[in-house]
Amino acid sequence: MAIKRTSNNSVNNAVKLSTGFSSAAIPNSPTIGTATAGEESATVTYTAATLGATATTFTATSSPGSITGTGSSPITISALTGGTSYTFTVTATNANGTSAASSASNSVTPTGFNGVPSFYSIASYTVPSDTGSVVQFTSIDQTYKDLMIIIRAGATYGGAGGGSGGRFYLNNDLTAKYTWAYINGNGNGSSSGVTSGGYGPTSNWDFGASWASNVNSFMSSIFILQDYTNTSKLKTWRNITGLYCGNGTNSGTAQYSGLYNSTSAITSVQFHHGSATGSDGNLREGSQIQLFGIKG
Amino acid sequence: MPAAATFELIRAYTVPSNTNNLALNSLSQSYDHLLIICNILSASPGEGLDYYMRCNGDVGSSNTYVSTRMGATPGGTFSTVRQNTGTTSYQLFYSAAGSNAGDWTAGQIWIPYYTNTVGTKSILTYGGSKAETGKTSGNYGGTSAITAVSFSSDSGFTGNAYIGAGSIFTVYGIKGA
Repeated sequence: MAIKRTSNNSVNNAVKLSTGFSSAAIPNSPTIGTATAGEESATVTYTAATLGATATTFTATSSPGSITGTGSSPITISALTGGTSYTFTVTATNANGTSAASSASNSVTPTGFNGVPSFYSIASYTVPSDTGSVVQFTSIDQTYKDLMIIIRAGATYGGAGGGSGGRFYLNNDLTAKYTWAYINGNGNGSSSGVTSGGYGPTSNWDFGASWASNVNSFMSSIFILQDYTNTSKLKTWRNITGLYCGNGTNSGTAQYSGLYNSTSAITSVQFHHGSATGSDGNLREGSQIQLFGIKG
Repeated sequence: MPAAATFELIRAYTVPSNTNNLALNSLSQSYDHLLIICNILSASPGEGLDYYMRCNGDVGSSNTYVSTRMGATPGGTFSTVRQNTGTTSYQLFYSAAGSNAGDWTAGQIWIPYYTNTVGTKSILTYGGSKAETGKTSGNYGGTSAITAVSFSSDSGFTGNAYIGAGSIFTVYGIKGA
């Protein structure tokens, strides 16, 4: 190479620097390329200097805001403000220091964050008659992170002196893997008691206060089953529930949380009233249940 | 067929001036469930406020609105339950005794199947202030679809204008398959 035939020290130094043998120099400035707007972000391209010391890091810096991004070309700069116009410069850095900034890029204006749809309807069911028993959703889509279930349900049980709550279980599993805790307020009057407690392990979950003795009673409940497809952890659940018994008497409000002692993905959910087989009362005609998927 | 996204903003309202009767009318009937997220600024000079909701402007009759609320206050007894079988409105949250102007109460109100005309409407809420947390559930006895909701800090919607300017009410519609 012609450059090796000269004895000029500065040129020799340049050769040494370009091959990384000198340890005293900082890199030359990169050449700015093109900036492109993104969603609350931008990318900027650059070309590293062909002569001079080797750079180990390239940094793009916004103006305004001095928001930075590092990496190889193209560099992504995140956390920009949508609707604001930005230009960018790029610097090169090695152990000896940082180069002067490149010239500024073209101006770009990122868009605001558009969001990602994350809440989807999976299935709905309306109980067609009082003679139905267990309501179940099977082959539940496994592409979401959490399940939300919204219920408005009545009971067919009208026996005097009491009733039983809404219950559910998972994966058709009626073994003793379900535990839960709750706080429950009920009664008629200006001030009545609150109870709290926990149950388990049992073969299914209670998710609502007692339906008492009134066939006109019904309840609503909103469930979250978290991380339901994760096969490396046990499954947790929580819900808020309200019960109405045709008047103030015995109406109540409750909040539950619980654990399903299984690492299996949840592929089916079963609902019923009373015992696991619905023998003391079924979900009333017109009861409605909807299943939603929430992406993480 | 891929499932559709079904959680949509249908109303966002910031209270422009203190009021005791805030109405959100002409609610879309295209969904199955309503979720109302509210952040209410107290304009009361120095007392706890109960917040109330009325559906379809219905002032009702006996047991038109039934709510059971359990609440807990810091450092106090575990909880109390207050049941309201009022005729004119549904009891929501409580900002707790001693709350002053400038204190915030935040809450969520769920009305599952609000367009259902077969039966009455169940309501679930939870929320509170820095001084009390609570959960309420109950019923609105009307069988018509809910097309409007209104809010007050007084059960009769006749008291002082204590829902403060800057309070925020956001309504979402949720649609099932």
